[in-house]
Amino acid sequence: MTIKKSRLLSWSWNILTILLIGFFLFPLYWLLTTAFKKPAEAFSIPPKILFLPTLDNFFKVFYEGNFLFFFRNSFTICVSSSLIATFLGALCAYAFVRFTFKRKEDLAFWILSIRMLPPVATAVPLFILFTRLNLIDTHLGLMLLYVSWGLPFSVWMLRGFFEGIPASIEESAMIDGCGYFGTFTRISLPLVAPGLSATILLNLIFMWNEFLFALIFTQHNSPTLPILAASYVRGVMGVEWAEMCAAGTLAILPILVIGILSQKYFVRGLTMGAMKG
Amino acid sequence: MRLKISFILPTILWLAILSVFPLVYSIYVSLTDLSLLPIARTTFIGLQNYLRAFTDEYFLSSLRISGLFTAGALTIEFFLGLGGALLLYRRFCGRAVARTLTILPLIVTSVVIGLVWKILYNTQYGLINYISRELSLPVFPWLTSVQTVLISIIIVDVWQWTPLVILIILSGLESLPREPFESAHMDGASNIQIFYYLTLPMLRPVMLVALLIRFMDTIRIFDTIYVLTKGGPGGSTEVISLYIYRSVFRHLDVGYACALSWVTLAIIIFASQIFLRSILKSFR
Repeated sequence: MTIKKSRLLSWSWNILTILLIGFFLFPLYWLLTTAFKKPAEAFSIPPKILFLPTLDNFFKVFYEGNFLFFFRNSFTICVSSSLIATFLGALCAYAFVRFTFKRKEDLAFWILSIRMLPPVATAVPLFILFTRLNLIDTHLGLMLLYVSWGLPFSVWMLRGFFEGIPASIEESAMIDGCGYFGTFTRISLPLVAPGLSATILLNLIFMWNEFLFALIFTQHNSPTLPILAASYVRGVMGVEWAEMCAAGTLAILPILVIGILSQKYFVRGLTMGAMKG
Repeated sequence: MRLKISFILPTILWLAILSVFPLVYSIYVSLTDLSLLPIARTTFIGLQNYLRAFTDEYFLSSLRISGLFTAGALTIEFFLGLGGALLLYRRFCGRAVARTLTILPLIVTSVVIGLVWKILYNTQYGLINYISRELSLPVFPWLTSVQTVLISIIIVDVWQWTPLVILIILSGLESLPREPFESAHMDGASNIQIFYYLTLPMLRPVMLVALLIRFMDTIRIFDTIYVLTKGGPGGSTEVISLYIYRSVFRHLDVGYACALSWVTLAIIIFASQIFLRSILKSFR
């Protein structure tokens, strides 16, 4: 290939890459900028590219939209569910890796297969159950559901991490007098710390974004941020767009940060361990 | 021994109560005419719900719409994902930043994504039509016309999930062994030949994994479509999940909804089996 041709090719790839990234970034950029526009400008023809930014929408979302209420719900429910699911999942994953017991692989597959269900399938009977148990519209109810969502995921994620610890380290710990549980807490857990934090963060992201169960199982006491975002859909056209974007921006901000921090483990997490990130 | 069990017990118990039991319960419910109406009495009706599903025009329509949506989304996501992975595999300045930016659509809440695209798609004030008008391109009523709405929601799904395909194929690319490529280069193969005869076949298992995962996710999709069209102009985007949701919360027909869920699950398992066989075959 001549020098000119290879440079031309290289530039074409660069341009294509920029177009690709631009495609993925543009809606987020639009979301962010619309959040800073005055309501009239957010909904104008032609759409304004240059404008004076205002924080009005954010204030409105906080005071009139009661943003902090939804945020607090999302925060409490998601953080606690994520921690519980990860810890219990760690126990289970450790057992799968270190112990042998009957029909182990069947059990593991069964845990994985739960993920294959359409969420509506479990939502319906759970809705009936929860109504009878008065768990609808409670923090506890949604937490129970989110943990049961996060458990299979955590078990499979952490299984890979525990397999990476050489058994000899744990054997020496046990010879030195640690019991199974002591070894687990003092040796194994610290060794998989990156895996633990990745699992906690990934769980957090998925739970934060979860919509269907939140929609079905909450009403006034414990709605989460996605519900707040969706509530703007019914607004009269145009009047609430700027506010809606402000709410949306605030809703995704925390997990955007978390997501960028945990991106290394994304592929592994989203493919249930089928691929290493 | 007791200690071993206590490790896995919390997880198993939790899942048994909150995942397995509801499923079993829903099998039972699917054989009744349970309704959320307070005055209704529940009677056991056997397989009637299942028979009804096979002649229910709305359910069949939702199968068709889900099928179209999945086929369209998967095709575009596959090719765009493959291309994107190849682009991001090259070494260039700012590659790490580019990769980080690429995964952002995966992290953003589905509902928010739906809202943003709803703004962009707006027929009169949306940015897409504005640009089209300025460039003298045809203007479409994206979300409000039956002809264009399916493509519109496919594009949103493509925007949101292509990065996952890119990531999967990218990690596949990076785990490919060097030697075959080096020897191919030394034997004088052109880049296109290397790609077609070497890269693609070696990526086959990875691509199938990506397709399988995306397939399982698109069949069950709910969030974005609910926000974008709630089932679309005249039910033209009512995918399976939306129809089941409507059965429960609009028609209050829980028994039927449970039956529909199981039929859907059977379809997913059947289709996944086909995928899985292809994956296992390509590993040999």
